Amino acid sequence: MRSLPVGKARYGLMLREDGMVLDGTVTRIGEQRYYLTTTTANAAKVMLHLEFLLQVAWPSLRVHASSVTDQWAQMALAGPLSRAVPARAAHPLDVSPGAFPPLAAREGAIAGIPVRVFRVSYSGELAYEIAAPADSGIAVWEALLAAGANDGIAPYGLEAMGALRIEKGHVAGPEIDGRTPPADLGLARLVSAKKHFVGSHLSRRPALADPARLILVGLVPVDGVPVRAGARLVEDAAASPPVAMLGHVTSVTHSPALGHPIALGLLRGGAASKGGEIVAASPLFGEAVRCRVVDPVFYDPAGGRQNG
Amino acid sequence: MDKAIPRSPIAGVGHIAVAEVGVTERWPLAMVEITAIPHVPLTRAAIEARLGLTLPPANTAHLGARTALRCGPERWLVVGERAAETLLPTQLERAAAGTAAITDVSDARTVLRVAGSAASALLVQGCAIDLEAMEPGRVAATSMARLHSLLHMVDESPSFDVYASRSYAAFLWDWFAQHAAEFD
Repeated sequence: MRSLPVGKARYGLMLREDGMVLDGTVTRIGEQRYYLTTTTANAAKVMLHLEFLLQVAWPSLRVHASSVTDQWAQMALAGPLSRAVPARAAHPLDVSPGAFPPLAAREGAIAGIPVRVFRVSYSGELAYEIAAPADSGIAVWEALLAAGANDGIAPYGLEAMGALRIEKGHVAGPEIDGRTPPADLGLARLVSAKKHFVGSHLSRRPALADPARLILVGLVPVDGVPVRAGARLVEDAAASPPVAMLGHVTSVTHSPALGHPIALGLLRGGAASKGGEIVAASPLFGEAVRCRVVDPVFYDPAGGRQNG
Repeated sequence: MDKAIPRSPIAGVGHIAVAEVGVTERWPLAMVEITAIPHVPLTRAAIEARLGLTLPPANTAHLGARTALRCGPERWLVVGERAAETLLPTQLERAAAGTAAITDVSDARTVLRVAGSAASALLVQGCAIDLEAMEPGRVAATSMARLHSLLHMVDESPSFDVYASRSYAAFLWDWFAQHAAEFD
């Protein structure tokens, strides 16, 4: 974080002491000031973790953490035409690709309200997140809708956000379930091999390098029928019990981009199983769906859409 | 583009006014948290000079045009009228000179004024504090209607200010509306 310049965000991974992924994206908003955003469901947990570390592990640090969850209303603005919206509405921001590259963070004003604009993308599209003081959240939201009216701007909800992030293989609560270290989620590249960090010692436990661990994969139902979140991954759903459990389905959606259902799951062996088939079984519903095991990034793996 | 108009999360709810107690939202307020950075001597005199008040000791508040509530060890919440205090966070940053974390939380809290002869009787239904033993000027961090809250006894009329998280503003308002009914 020392190398993170002011006005720049970084997708980081905060780990628990036991090496499991907790959460976190960090933006440096001042020389000595950072703004940390988390998955909504993990915000309280992350705050507790920070307080714990400051009070117990490193009471000598000259650091204070404040929860500003209620202070800011933060909205995502996503889509191929999204650049036009802050270009019209946010002053005096230069949002051209050179001046406002991916992971840049700037302060500006929308409809006279001071806002923070971040070029971060959870959807995998060209996207911005805009934070306004909460009392002005609705006003800024309306200003954004007005600025994008001619481009067909439309509000999107959590279901659409879920579809977009699953297409991109972006992990959320169902995958960050307290049992997954970074490597299980395909995020080992975000972990420093050089420096010490919370969780680094226990990350080296042999069990976390076991090739039989449950690893994040993509699943495509062979017959195009939807699978259920929570379905168990097995070789043969008709086998007589006990049936070996090879993993489970974590997140499911219909992919508008691909035109068929997709799912994310944690599967024993992970990458080694890619190209093969597995059965997603939901015995309570009498369902067994044969799925192809694929890379968890279903859409735009090169990232051209979000980095354009 | 027109300048946007901020809105309270419970804009338009009006007042709760029954025979013995009234509840009113205080909005719009400026609220700034001052938290001393551990192991760094706080530039207390500069901060107090800038605020024009003495930062109050444990469990108390200074009441005035600017109110300061002590809400934890070396931690205060400064409250004033929002329109008059737009520069407050920047001014405090300067006065604190890196010895305290200054955080603008103006939009982060809902503040309700509860006043009238039944104010204490209404509040005790939602919190475990012994309000009979509470005196004007006292502040308590407590659970109010199951929400983490700051309770400030403003004066002996009696009137109290309840500070809670903005996200729960509608819930807290409904709680008071429901529980005030019996004091009509």
